[in-house]
Amino acid sequence: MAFVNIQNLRKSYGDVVAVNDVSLDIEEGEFVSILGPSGSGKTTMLKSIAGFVDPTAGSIVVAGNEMIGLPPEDRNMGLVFQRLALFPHMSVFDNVAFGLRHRENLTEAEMEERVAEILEIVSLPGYEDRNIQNLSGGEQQRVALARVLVLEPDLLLYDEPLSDLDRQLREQMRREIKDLHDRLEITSIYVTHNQREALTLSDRVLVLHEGEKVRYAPPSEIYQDPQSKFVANFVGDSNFVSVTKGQNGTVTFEDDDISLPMHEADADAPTDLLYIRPEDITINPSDGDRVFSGTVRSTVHLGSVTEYKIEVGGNEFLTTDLGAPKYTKGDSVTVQFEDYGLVEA
Amino acid sequence: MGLMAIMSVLSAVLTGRNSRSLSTPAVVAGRALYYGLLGLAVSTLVLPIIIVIGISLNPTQSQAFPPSGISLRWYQEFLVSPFFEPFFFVSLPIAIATATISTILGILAAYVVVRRDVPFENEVVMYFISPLIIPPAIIALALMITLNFNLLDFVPTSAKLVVGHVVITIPYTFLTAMTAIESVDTELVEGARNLGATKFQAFRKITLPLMKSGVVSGFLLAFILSFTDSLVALFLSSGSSTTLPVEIFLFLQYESSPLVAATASIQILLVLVLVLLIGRLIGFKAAAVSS
Repeated sequence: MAFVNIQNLRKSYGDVVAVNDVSLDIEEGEFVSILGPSGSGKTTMLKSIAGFVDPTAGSIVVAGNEMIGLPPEDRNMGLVFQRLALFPHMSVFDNVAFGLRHRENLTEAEMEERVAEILEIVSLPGYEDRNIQNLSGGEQQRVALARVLVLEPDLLLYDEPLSDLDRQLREQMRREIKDLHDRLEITSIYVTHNQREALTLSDRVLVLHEGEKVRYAPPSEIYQDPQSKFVANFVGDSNFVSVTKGQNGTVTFEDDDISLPMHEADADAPTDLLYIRPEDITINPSDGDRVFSGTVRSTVHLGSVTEYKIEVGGNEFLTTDLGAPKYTKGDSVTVQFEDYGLVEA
Repeated sequence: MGLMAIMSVLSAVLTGRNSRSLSTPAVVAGRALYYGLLGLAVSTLVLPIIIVIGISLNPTQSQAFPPSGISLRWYQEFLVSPFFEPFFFVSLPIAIATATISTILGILAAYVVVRRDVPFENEVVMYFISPLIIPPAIIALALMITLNFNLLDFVPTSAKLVVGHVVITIPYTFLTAMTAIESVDTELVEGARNLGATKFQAFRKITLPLMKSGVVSGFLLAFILSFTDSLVALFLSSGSSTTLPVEIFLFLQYESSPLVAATASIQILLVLVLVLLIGRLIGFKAAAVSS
């Protein structure tokens, strides 16, 4: 059995089903993200694992032990909260030592050693006597990590810990979380609505939609083969076109005479929705096939890339190009559809 | 509360940076209203206290104000007066016991209402604050009838007084505790549980320290209410267990001397010291916010 084994987890509040029969296996040392928009049930799932929500049905086995029925304090899990939940009336030392005092029987000297050790790991050496309120956002993040890491938990749970940070700090903390996981290899579950965090941090991503498991696969697989419109749209941007399948292995855009050769893998797909990633559309290619003419409808400069909306036939396509804007509204261009696939609507 | 708001707005207008606007009719009217209200507040709240203290300083039996001289005679008299014992051996212990019990009950009830899913939550809240709505005389009468029931003869009067005072003070300790508990983020409690603390340990180490100012102000309110209550005490007092306000009331029916004023002054001083102490301990703002 996998290190973490969740079977048919279900939580309903009256008629509202927050988590609908979700099953999940996580191997020891794996980093798994639960990705979904707000209201998808991801936090309910995490709080069920941590013991703060009683699931309506299902089982949660961690390291061979059934967790359902155990109070949170008896589950050896570390939870990093969105708002961190550091104890404001305690010093950094007392925050970090809080778990040691309750979970382990240590002398004061042993405790000081353990706290110093973990503060070293999160790059806060000598911060023991600092006041929580006087720390910067990044330092508070590290204390929140140290507080759970010091207990060497079976399972590390993150509840959107970076969503309240500004962009620069968020990127930095994301890298630090990745580094910590690479070093300590604690099995982790990371809840987020940010697809970038989920894709870059995780070994596998669970995509939730309205309480249902939509997809559970490694990030690259999810990105390259989203399988459903929801995933294609949620994990990166996508253009969608309704198509009809032809006899000769082609798909033809509805209301248009544009035809594209179909991928073999899509031959049996029971759907007529085509998705094209913005980065898979090339403007003014030097040569090649699958090239069509269009008109630039809008240009947005986003810094390192420029976003264009280009009308091709009766459809408008979002596409991105590196660097500053090269085309302006009204320009006639050609576009090449380099890659695309069929997804379920 | 509304009065305070009006006064603070007015004082903001008066201390505004734009000095030229001070002469506009609206501001002149505002200023007049401000000083009028301030005068009203001073005359109704502070003036009686000043008069009481003034009277207590009279060197003779006369209750003149301003005092005909300055003497501490009546403060010396107090030490041997019929007020000394009720003050220190009845009212004070009863107020301390009342405040302690009422605060603990208030916190427990508030914790259950705020942090647990209990049926009839609104009804429970109404029950605990109902002594605020029922006329005090009705409460006092009901308590007298109930607590003087034959079967309860073995209960000392002072204990009955504590029960009565807990009833009238519980809305205050309950409401302050409710606000204080609500102000503690539940994620902090979850954080503590996640780190291995039981429900009770999390309450003791996280919730309780963080609601400290609410606990202290609830305690103080209960203490002052019990210490100054005359109505419930009047209905329940008997024999040796007569509280200070009742003793003063009885005394005033037959005699009059600055002794009463001196006793009241000592009472005012005690409450003032307590309030200042609380202010020093947790800050006036924290105490005011939580209550």
